[in-house]
Amino acid sequence: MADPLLRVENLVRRFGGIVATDNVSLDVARGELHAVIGPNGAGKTTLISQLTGQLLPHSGTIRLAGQDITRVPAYRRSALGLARSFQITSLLLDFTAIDNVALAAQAHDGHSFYFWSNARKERHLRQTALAALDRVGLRHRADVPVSQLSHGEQRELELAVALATKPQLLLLDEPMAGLGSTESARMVKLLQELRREVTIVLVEHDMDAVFALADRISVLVYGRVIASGVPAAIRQNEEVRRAYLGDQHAVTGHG
Amino acid sequence: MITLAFAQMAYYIASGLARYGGDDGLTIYKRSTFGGLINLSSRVQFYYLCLACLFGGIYLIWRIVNSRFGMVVQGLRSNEARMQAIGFPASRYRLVCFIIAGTMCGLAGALLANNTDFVSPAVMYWTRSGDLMVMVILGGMGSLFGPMIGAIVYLLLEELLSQVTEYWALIMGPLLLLIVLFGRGGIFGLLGRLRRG
Repeated sequence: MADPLLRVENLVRRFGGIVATDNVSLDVARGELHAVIGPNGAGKTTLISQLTGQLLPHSGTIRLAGQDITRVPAYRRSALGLARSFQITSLLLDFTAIDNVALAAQAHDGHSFYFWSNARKERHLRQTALAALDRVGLRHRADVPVSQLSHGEQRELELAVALATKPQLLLLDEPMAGLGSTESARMVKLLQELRREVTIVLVEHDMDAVFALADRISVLVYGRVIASGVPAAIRQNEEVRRAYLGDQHAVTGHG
Repeated sequence: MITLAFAQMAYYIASGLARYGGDDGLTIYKRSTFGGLINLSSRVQFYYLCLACLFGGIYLIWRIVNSRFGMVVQGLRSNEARMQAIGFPASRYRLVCFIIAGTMCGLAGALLANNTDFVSPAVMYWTRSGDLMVMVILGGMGSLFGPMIGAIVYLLLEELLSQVTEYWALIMGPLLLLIVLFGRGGIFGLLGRLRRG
């Protein structure tokens, strides 16, 4: 793993006087599940937004498979194999589950300047979508409008949408947020399967989930990476304990 | 908003063009002939041409809405960031959508000019854009037949109310407010909910 799939170097992003991302460097190897943890306001979502291209960094570089993507717009990053899930579920509510996923498949199947034939009847798009739904266990809910899905199902659908773009790297922004304990357990199981197929960067509050899943963990505090390493090392790290894990009860309360 | 601003700009430019009548507008002495195929001086033929344009337009939009392009545009309406994230260059699709809408408005304008035998900058004034928005909101945004229903109801109401009082806008205004506040999806939405019980 000489060449990491994702390499972030000296990333800086400011909001006015606040440095939300302070000289962050991060390597994610191919096939690894890399968790990013940190207290509220540590800049986790700001970091994800820069990785996906919704927000431009003030300095630093982001490389995907060796290619510099620091200033590449979001939609083209998706074509390069970067997919994300959103922290606040942001599916298309009046579409059915399968419509949402098929649209993601459509985005990666040539351009969409077709004005006449019915997109819902394009068999290969529907099949790709069904396969992705199957992957997250939602096949039986394919024709249900998103607004009628439970919160847990919506989070799984988020994953299916990301998977339908056939990503190399999956950025998951708090996939367990707002899930009950059974739903959380299902999500952990699902991620355990997915990690065999795709490299994952997981931003998560739920410490049990993070320590169960991650190969490596980076700890973000006030926009800085204060530690990065295997879960056992992170658990032992004095600085992390002081900054973060000492506060663990408050943190796991979110999960 | 920016569309309104551009319309206002076009209005003032047109008002300044003395050669084309400026503020007073321009009388059209001859209707479109379509190479002699259709005679627009005949009220009946004109009517059927408009009807054909209406249903042709609705059929066309219906095809577009369910096409790949239509799916993308609907996605953009509800969540642009999501569409970018799954790989759609949002602004290109939005631009083409504007072009299609503009073309259809252009056709409507051509028909209107033929009907009234007269054009003036007033049709570019922002109140006209406002009228169109009222029709769409009244009928139901984001639906195929909503705007058509809205246009019919709006014009009928204007006609009927203005016979009762010259301050017909005083009644129309609150009515529109009620629709906006309580009738999500306009008249078309209400009809749908009634049918479902």
